[in-house]
Amino acid sequence: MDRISILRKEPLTQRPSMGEGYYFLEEFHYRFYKDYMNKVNSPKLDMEKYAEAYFNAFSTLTPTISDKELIVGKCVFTLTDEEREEWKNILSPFAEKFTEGSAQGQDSHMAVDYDLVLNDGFNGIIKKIDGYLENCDEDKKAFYKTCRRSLEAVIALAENYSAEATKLAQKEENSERRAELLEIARICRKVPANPAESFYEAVQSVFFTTYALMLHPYRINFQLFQLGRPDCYLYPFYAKDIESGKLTKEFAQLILDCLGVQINNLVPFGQSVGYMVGGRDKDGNIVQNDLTLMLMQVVDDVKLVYPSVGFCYAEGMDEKYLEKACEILSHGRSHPAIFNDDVITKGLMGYGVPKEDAHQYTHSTCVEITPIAASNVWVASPYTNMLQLLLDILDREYSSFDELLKTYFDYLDKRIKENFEWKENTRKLRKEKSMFPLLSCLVNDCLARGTDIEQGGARYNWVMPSFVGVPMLVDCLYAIKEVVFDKKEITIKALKEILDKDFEGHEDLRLHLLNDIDKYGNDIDEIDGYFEKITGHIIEECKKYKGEILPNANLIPSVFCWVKHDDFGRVTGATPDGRHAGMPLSDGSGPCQGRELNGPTASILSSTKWPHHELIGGVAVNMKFSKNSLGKESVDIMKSLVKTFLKRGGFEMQINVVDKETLEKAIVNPEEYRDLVVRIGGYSDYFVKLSPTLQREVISRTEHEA
Amino acid sequence: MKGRIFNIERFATKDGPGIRTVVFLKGCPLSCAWCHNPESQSNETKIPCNNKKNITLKAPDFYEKEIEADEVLEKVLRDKDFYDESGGGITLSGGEPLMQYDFSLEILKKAKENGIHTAIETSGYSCRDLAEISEYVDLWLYDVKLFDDNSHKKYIGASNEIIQKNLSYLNRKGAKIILRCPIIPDINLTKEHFENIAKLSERMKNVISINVELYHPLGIDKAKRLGKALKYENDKFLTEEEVIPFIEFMKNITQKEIKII
Repeated sequence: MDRISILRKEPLTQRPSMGEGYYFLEEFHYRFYKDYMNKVNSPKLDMEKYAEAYFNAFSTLTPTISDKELIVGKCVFTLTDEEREEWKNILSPFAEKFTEGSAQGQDSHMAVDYDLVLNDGFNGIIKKIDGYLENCDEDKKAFYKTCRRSLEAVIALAENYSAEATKLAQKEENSERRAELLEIARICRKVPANPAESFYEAVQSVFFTTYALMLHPYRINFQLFQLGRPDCYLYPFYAKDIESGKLTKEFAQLILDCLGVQINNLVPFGQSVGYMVGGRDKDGNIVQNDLTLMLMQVVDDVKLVYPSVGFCYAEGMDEKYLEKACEILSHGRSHPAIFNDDVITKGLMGYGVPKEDAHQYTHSTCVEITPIAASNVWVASPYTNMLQLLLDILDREYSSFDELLKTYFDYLDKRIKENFEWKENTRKLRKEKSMFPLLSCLVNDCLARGTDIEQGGARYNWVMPSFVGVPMLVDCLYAIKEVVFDKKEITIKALKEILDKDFEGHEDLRLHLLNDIDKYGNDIDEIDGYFEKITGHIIEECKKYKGEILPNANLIPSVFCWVKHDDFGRVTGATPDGRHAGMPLSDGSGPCQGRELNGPTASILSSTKWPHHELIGGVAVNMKFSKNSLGKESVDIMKSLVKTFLKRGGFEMQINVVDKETLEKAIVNPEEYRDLVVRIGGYSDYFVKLSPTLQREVISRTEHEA
Repeated sequence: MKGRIFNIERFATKDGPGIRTVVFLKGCPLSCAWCHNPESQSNETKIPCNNKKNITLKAPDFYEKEIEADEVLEKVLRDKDFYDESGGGITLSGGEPLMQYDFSLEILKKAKENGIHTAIETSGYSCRDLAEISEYVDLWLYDVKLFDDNSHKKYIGASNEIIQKNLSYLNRKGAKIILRCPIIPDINLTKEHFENIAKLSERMKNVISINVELYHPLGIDKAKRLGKALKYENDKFLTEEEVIPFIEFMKNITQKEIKII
């Protein structure tokens, strides 16, 4: 079995899921708070003691290196049952008091300044800090000193990995592995403390940095730091090593694959951590190099949920990069997601981001766009259930559809304002109570300003609310317009009563709403027009707000959902589009699941009739195909669909090539999969319409084709 | 002018190059035993049939309507961006599109005026002179079902003569042709049949490719929904493995590209 097949077993079999408590976080927090509580004995902040406890926690974690691993960064859970009890009963309540009020709100969801890490090393940053310390005001000194000690903590951690590797090498009988371990030992002694000088060193340095950022005393929950644009910052190292013959392409791929697996060991299920490739560099040159392809190849090699890879298409890019992305997707992988560089850069510049920062952004987990190395952006803050807002206002009759729409918008505006104030209050609390010195070392311009990231050190401090269920809202509004106002078949009151009872005894009305009323996503201009009306309103409304707690704090909207369409759906009553209570809301910004009846071209046209670029908080259009619908030329066809989507101004597209499992689900729940087309020979039909025997037949063929 | 169609299918990827819209014209002079579009055979107006069990589903079922050529064009042109990007366009299918020759001609002319690629999927069974229409067809997807004329009459319901004559004519005229060869177990899944296809393709200079279409029983399901029965019913899919030896054999005879679709 090859190395990656062996390594990928570990996250598949041993990784705990979110909510079970994440072992190395608990270990870290135990060590930090044990030390801090001993020193301070009261839950108030003492920066000097904080820095010491932070250093001690990092330097006493127990590293572990698995056989075959080339990129290291896991630690052992060493807490005894007694110590776990101590954490639960004594330290954890203390930690809660210590972080009280500061633990709310979104954070991480960004990529730090990896160029700085690789080119200066942590020691280089320390040198800079020493410079600031010599000239700064007295009140900044504690901040700089804590930053300095935080960097030393990570260096100490790396040194422990070096020692562990040396120890393992001494015991290792296999001479090949012994050599690998000695190389790991050498690298961990060197980075991230010093500038990286080889490709391998650079990758390890980046992983250490990301790993260390995940461990934060103020955050008991998991942090989601992204790896930014590795085909930019790693490329100089790669090119140099390939040129000198020190590195082969195969070994470079192996290192990247090892990095890919290690991300899975670090991040629990149900989250999203990864990197972005392609797009443009600071100077606006298209990024298209070997690493762009190889970093995508990682998805196909490791075949795990992470890394979440975003591929950024820039106009003028060589075709083979998009082809590579489509090829991987055609294998049934859920990544890369495809982003539109030109649209996103335009959007960022519209919010006042200078060109060099507007080219270097990342998808900060799913589709939320934040500038790299300079952001403290709160993404998805908060999610708003657009359907609940509609149900709320159906408590009375309206004289016209326009009046209803106006009422809806007024109500939505009120919610936007409340949410904005809520986030401002949270920021105020965090500004008073929280800090993150290590992160402040790596995000511009915290060190230059002498200001912690929590106090406004970052260049961009946006808040990005996300509005969930817009496609379904469009369907509902249009249905109300049709049955209540245009055709006068029912009053609002009667409709609301039926919705409250989840259509009980009114299946005929439900089917009428579901089937006879046209839906968004089918290239019908009138309905699709409502999407723009709603997003246009949201965009303009958000522009009215600017946070005052932190500088440069625009309110920038998004229309994606993560898993919130499901969460919200469960608690949202029946809706006027014929959806039953408890069923999911629409995901993303494409047509609602199962409501797309005219195929992917119509769906793409509908999804690009409204401008995407100002929704920098994130737009996601999901498309799914059955494995056989695309045919043997699937990569070309997919590429054409994607390129048309991008040319028409699409922001992001996620493609799922549907597998057997989905077809099975479609049998159980046909209404949700009405749009699923299967093709056999020159003939196609809707999967859910086939007789049960044929459905089984198609499934067995799909399995065959997979 | 108006014509009769029974479906317009967007995002077709197997009926010519690129992403295409297929317009299915109603009416067919033939009655293939295994017909997979039985709803197309008659050119009479029928009440669309719903499967009661699936009454909750609004996926487009068979419909048939009289429609203006301009309206067809308007629908087809909505996907022009996709054709431009993928090299796709419009494909006329059926039924037998040549049965509504003038209607087909008008659609094809207008498609060419709008700069999109045109293809026609045909049995070749038409008494009309193909000279005019062939000016507006970029690609012919031309059926080859059976060679023996008696079998042809038995399973297809007509002689092969006109079909062969029209194919020769198109080839001489320099039309671009892909042979579409449905392979039906019990009827033409024989070495001899594949040999004949290969020889035919070699004889015809302008045949660019051979598409081998594997039998599937989906037509039976459709026929049932229409309340019809097919002359040939076999519920098994023909698999690639079953035809691969024959295709390997064909490669000894012809240099033309052979694709299983």
